Parts: sequence; structure tokens; C-alpha cells
Amino acid sequence: MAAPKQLEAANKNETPQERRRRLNAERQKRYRDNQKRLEAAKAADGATQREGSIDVPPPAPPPVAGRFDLSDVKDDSASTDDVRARLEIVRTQPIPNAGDPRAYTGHVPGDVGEIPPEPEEEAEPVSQDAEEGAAKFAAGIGLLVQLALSDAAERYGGQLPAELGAFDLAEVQPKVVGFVMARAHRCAIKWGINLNLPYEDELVTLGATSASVLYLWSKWRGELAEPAAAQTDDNDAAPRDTSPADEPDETPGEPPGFGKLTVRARGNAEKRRVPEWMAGGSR
Amino acid sequence: MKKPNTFAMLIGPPEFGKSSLAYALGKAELEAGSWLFVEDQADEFHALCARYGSTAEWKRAALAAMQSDGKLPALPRGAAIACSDGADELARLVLELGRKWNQEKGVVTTPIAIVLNETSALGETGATHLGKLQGRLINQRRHLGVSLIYCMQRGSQLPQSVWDVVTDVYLFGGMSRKRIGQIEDKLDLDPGTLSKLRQLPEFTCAHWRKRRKPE
Repeated sequence: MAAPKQLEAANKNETPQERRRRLNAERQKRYRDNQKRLEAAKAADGATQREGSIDVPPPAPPPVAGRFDLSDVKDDSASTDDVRARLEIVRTQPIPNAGDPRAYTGHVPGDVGEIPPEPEEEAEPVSQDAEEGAAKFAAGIGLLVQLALSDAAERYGGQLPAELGAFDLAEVQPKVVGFVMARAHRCAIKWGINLNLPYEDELVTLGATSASVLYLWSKWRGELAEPAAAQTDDNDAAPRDTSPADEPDETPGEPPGFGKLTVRARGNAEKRRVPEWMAGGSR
Repeated sequence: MKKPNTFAMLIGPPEFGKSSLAYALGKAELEAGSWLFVEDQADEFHALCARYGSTAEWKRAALAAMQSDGKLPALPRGAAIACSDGADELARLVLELGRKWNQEKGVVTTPIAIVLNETSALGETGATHLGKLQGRLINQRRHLGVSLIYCMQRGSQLPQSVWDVVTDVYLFGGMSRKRIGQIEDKLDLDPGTLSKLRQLPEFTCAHWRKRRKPE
């Protein structure tokens, strides 16, 4: 391609309109050529965006007993060649009972240099304070509510009334709050949204049901004397993310310090009661 | 020495061989010359690693065994630690060691491997959030010289950002269709690609490996 000054010299007699038309045509041609080049490259190696840029080969595969091609296993489902090329069957042996850790003693090439000193006997600064935890949880809950409302609008094909956007947790029935938050948490998982919610793993383990969300809310308000497992709420009509086999079979009694909130299991006529902090409207 | 880049996830229900495969992978790391740290509450690695009650106990043993030239010839390179604070305590130790042994030197001279036998002990990390310690460990593992081997029962226990950087996934049988569908979604596979997992017996898994760019 000629240098800009040479081009200018070659076209010094053209009018501004002609110059503009020429530059536009050149720009469009460059764009079309680029697009063709990209499509050709994509078609050639079938690479996807997820493959990343690993420039270091991974370590050698472990010495497991036997390594077989995927065709070794009967299957009746579709599988692309792309996946078959990087999916293979591996078999391993049970953990042996006998062995000697000192078989792997010694240093590797290069000195280890320095061992960090023994840590001092003090607690790590974690956010165990109930007030700080409650504020953090409330921020996460606010996002959960927004997600739930967006999801509801999407499901029912329209915008929700504006007054529903102002969600005061203290004034809404606990079952509705729990349902909304549980639903929103499932949406967050589905959409890969980072909630930065404390006790996130507990929420997932407990199944993100109404009762579990309310239990964690009270926990962060410091109203629970000891952590205890929450009962699952089978009356939650929203679809679950966890399979029933993963849920704990035990249904322990009411957690200590949780006020008088109880959960009505399926077939159980026990009445739900509202804890004081929900009934009183204070947060 | 090349920087290790392995981040392996072992996924499957209990009693299907995850710990056995984690043991085999840990043993391979030791045989390759790495230092191995295992979060071993179930005491399954006693035949391979020396057992310590905490990371502080390991540090005391290492300081006692260290020679004046910075070598540790008398200390087993495998350490199974029953961490009271779960994986975060082990992550803190490995981050310190990785920084002092490798990152500050600018070259990986002492590779390290970490095995988490149950990711439910991952502390702040959950389905939608990656804790600070785990985030540093995962994102800086090449510079720290750390390989990661995580065992878990469900693919949804870690956020998508972790799945985007994993290099090896070992998938065991016995999972429900819903779980398999979640993993297909995480790995960006066509629906139905992993349906054959339901037929796999114990101690057998499918190994998915991230494809490298052709040179």
C-alpha cells in the first residue's frame, strides 16, 4: 500500500468530494477483505473463543491403569468430533493402604529459600460482626430482588408496576420475600452474576429455598445463637436448582434463637409464624 | 523449569473414585518433583503424605528441618493437612510459599501442587462468588508455580469464571441428567455430549482436556 504522502501527491487534483468518495471506498474494501480473512481462518481450524492461549503444555497425564478411546463406551447420544478429540476414558485404582511418605523426601532443583514464619496467634479479620454482615447481606439481597423482578417481567412478558420496584423487606410477607430471593438467587446462578453473598455455599447446599434464605438473613442479623441447618420449604413453587438427592434428609427442629418462624413441610398443617423482626417492620 | 498450568477438577458423586484419582494425580505430582499439599480431612493420603494438624505445624516442621542453604532434604514433600479453616488456610500457606519460592525469583524453581478433597470447604467461594484467596490462587497459579486439583460433587459449586480457566475435567458416572446438563453448559459442550457418563462404572471417568492452540 502506498504511503499517505504518495497518495496525496497522486491525487492532488481531485476535489474534496472525490477524495471523500475514494477514501470511503478504500475503507469499505479493507473491511470486506478483513471479514473474509476472519471467516476463512475460523472455518480452517474450527477454534472457539473458549480455547484460550495456553503456551505451556500441561504436565504428563498420571500413570493410571489403562487409557481407552471414547468409542470403548456404548452410547446412543450425539457427540461432535471436536469433543471426541479431547475427551477420553480414564480408569484408576483404589487408594492403597500402605505407603511411605518419605519415599518423596527432599528438595527439587532450586533451593526452597525461605519458609514463611509461623503465624501469630490472632484471628483473621473476617466479617463476623453481625451489623457488617447484615449490611453486606442486605446489599446482596437488593440485587437479588432486582434480578427476581427482572426475571418475573421477562417470564410474564411485560414491565412490572413501578411500585413493586421499591421493595421494603420489612413490609412484605416473609413467604413472598423468601420466594423472591430464592428465585433471584437461582437466576443469578443461571446468568453467572456475581452476588458476593456471604454463606453462598450454604445457600446452594440448602437449595436456595424460601426457608433457607430467611434463615441466612436472620443469621446475619445476629439473631441466631448457633449456626443450624434450616428446614427445606417444600411449598416453594419455583423450580429447584439442586436435585432432591442432594438435600439433607434430616429436618432438624427450629434453630435456636430464630424466633418463632417455623416452616410448613408438605402435608404438615403446622402454621407459619413471623419472627419479631419481620413483624415489627424494623431491619 | 516450565511454569505448571494444571487446574484439574474431579466431579462426581461419592464412592465413584474421585479421591482415588486425586490420589493418583497427587502421586504423579510428587514423582515429577513437586511439593504436594492436600486438604485431607478424611485422612485418605496418609500413605503418600506426612500428616499435620495445621499449616502452622507444617511450618514448624519445615523450619526445624531446613538447612542453612535453604534446602529441606529431610522433610517429606507431601503434606496432608487437616485444616481447621478449610481450604482457605491451605490456600494462604501455598500463596506464601509460591510467592517466596517462585514468584519473587521470577522463575518456577519449586513447583507446588494443591489437592482439595472436597470443595465444600472453600470458605467464601460459592456458586456465584470467588473468594479472594481462591481467586489469587487460581488466577496467579502459573507465576506462583502451583497446580490445582479440586474434587467436588456438583459442577455448580464453583462460579463460571473458574470453569473458564480449568485445563482438565474428570467426570465420573452416577450423576443425574440435570447435573450432566449443568456441566455441559459450563464447558460449552453440545447438549447430550456427556450423556454417556451415566453408564460409567466406579473408578472410571471421562477426562476432558482443554485444547491448546496449534502452534
